[in-house]
Amino acid sequence: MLKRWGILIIAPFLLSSCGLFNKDGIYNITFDSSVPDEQKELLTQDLEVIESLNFSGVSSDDLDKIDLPELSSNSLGNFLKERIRYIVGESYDADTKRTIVSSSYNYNPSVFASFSSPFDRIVTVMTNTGSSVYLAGKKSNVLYSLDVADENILINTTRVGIIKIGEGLFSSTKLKSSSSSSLARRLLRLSTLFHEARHSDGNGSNAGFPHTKCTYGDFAGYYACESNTNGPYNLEAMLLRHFYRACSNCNETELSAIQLAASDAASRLVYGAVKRNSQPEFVR
Amino acid sequence: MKFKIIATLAFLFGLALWSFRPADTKPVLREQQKSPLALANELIPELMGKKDTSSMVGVNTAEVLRENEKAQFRNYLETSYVRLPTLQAISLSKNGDLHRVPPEVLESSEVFGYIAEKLKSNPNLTRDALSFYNACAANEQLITSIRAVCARNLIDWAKKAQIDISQVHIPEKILQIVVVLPERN
Ligand SMILES: [Zn+2]
Repeated sequence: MLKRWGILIIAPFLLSSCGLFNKDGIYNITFDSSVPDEQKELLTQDLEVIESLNFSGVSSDDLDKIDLPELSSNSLGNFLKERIRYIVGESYDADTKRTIVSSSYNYNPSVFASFSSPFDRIVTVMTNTGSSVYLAGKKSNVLYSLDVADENILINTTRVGIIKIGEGLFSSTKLKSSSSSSLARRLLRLSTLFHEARHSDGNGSNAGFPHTKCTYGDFAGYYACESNTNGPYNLEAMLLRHFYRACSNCNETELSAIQLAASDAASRLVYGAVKRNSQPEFVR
Repeated sequence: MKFKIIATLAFLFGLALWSFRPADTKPVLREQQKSPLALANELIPELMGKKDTSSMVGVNTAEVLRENEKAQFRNYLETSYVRLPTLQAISLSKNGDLHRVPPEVLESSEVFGYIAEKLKSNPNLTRDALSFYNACAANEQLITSIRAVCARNLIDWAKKAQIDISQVHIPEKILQIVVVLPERN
């Protein structure tokens, strides 16, 4: 009798470890049905790669820019876990999935930055849907919720963690003679995911770590620059710097692609960039 | 008076001759269209692409093959150089999403990858590659991220071949990116 009770108690734990009761995927990230199967499969495998990455020679300056106490597969996994909860596909339309919870909501975020910034003229350019909807609501004093993956999510923080991916994520990292499942292309996609994850951070005038308008350089006039040393572009550049070293058995073209992507991200940093408080703001 | 008339006539004749000059069919070459190997660099004479013929006595087959490979490599560098993405290319980019790395930038990884493979198999090609990287890093018409990768390669391959490039000037805005980029092992 005791044996039967024992089996009954242990069974759910065993089943959940097999994934049968586990609704969420790796790092508890849930994929919305709008994500095509092949993209979901590739991205799930990309996330699994994080666990196998080894890092060495990480300086304190690098960590400062990454804004993490250490660079390890564990810390990177936790970073994503806290900032990405849902991934939606290109066909996901936030406008039709949006419900107004309160039409005259007084945004009084629990966390607000206490400094003024010369980079306050901001327009967000991102595919971090959760953060974008939160900022849109904050701007118009409307509190929203979003239907995603059969759930209704209250959009009360930049950390809501709903990331939209599209075909561009897979096509823009195309390299001749390098398949989409190669380690180099996985690392390039992951760097984009970490960039978007950083858009889940920040508070006050820097909520969502938005990009600033480039006043000079290659992208002058576009909101494609970085005024924070710990913002999405610089985080991406620093990670790619270490992904390059972790890209074992990658060929020279693949390594060059990682170097070029790091160079592009680093080139977005404007003069006078400063480190900003990355704590996310939330309401309610 | 006579002198004035003669001088005026001479001037008009000269003007007529000038107006009938043959049309200049040679377009003005943009900096990028010049061969990167032709750019004189007094600071590093070895980078001027001059062939050292002093030791070419008793040419053998292996040497001919080496020279052929060198010629092909130089040709590759020249044709690749003019295809490196320019600032104009990003503004015309069909992608249009300037939030992400322009596709033209990632596509040029083929060029950097090919050069690196060649240098690993034949270090004698290093000087030509350095000349390419030097010209690219200095070229203001190219995308900044490309210039920074060229500068990174210039520094790393020169160090590997123990060639002194301390006199080469790399602009400050490029150097700020170079320090972030991973070095070659
Ligand atoms: Zn961004």
